[in-house]
Amino acid sequence: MQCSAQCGAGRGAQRAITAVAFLAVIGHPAAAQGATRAAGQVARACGRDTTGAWYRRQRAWADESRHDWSDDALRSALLDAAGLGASSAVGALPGFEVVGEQLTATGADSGPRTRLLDSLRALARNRQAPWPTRSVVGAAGVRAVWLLVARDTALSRTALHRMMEAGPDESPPAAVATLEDRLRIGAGRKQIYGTQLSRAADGTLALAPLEDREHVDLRREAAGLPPLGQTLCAARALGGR
Amino acid sequence: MTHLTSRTTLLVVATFGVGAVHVVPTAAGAQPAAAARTVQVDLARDRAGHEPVSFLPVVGHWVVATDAGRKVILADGRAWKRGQPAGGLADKARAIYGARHEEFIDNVKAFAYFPIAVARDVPSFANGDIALRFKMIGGTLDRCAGILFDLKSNGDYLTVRFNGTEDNVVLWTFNGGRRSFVKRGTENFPLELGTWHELRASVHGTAFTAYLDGKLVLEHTLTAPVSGRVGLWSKTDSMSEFADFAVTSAAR
Repeated sequence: MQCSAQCGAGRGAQRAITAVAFLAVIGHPAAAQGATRAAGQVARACGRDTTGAWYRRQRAWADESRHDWSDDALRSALLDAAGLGASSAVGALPGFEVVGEQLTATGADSGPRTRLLDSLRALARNRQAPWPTRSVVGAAGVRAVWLLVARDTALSRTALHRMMEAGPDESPPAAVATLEDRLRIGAGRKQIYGTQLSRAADGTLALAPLEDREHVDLRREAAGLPPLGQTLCAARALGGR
Repeated sequence: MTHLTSRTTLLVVATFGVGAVHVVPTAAGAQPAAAARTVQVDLARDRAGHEPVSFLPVVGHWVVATDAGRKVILADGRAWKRGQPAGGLADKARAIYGARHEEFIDNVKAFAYFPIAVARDVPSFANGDIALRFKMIGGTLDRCAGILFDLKSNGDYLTVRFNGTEDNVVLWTFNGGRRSFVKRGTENFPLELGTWHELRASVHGTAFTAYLDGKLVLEHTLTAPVSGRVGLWSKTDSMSEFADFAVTSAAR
């Protein structure tokens, strides 16, 4: 892993911190204020530049100021089912997640969430049915879908295909990249964006197997993700040892 | 450059950009009338960092890149935007189809999801083999590399391509602004990014076969014999490198 000496400042942090800080980075309401501060410190230590093109690109994609989605009712149901607040802004994806600890919708499964997941599965079965993309449910709604499908591999796979088909205006490339890597690792293949880290028994984080490391930052840049070295540094500082 | 067929009896090296063609007999006693000819695109005149001259980019962003010290053609989908033909489309269309270029342009715009680059000095291919090597580098939506063939002056064409997001080889037809699935390969091949592979299309009359790394992966009977230009094919935001493009024309 590439990591500056300053990364050592965060070593020894607990697994929970990784998850909570991740929530902070993506703008999830469950993130505690302290975690937001921790994420900020790590960002400074690892040289994460929130004025970078990747960050601005993700933020621009998530801009909802135009209120230009078509299905408010579905959006509200998705946000509610995913445990996202109606007014929560969509934060930037940090470019990593830990295998087996990836973020999913918060809170216990409930009747509305179960019904919504069933609806998504029905949409997945019908290729003619429009998938809830940005123009339908807004950026926050798309993030909610991304969180909701995380626990269901088959649904995740369909979601990935639908997101790819919909294109970069409708589906955030960073989320597509992270989801594809997650599914590849889950299927025993190598990842291609370097978004998946595995945690050893001693808590150490390591990059899960990666294809074509030579061009990984090219792919990450195209997907609107920060450079791999920067991400690994941040990930280690947050939750690795 | 790799010679891709043992059936080659004449080697024709086209030096693109100046239009010179060198014919080199490679097998004594070959009968010219029945001989196969291999045209291998030579990138010697192409300049790294610039648009290729050996292939005419019609849709998408194509650039000459270097890979391990040798020149390759890169379909750079990072700059891909929906419905965006390559710059200077009218001039390029005129260069390959002359007065008939307007219909070509209209049709090509309908296929702007699919970057294509036309081999400048292969005016027509009807029978034989088309081969290339490809290396997939990236693409969030798609990771494709394919052979363009049977490109007509109205913009219709056929392509056989490998798709790294689906891990398969598929033959597609593009007619009148509409893309249609023709046939999928027999099995999936999870190719690693950053590795070179060979794709070959073989046409003999209406018999079509495709090979991936020398393995037969697709067989199909075309509705009609092919006759048209050939080139490189990609899809949306794919980043794919191409090398060793060779066309072996055989007598019908």
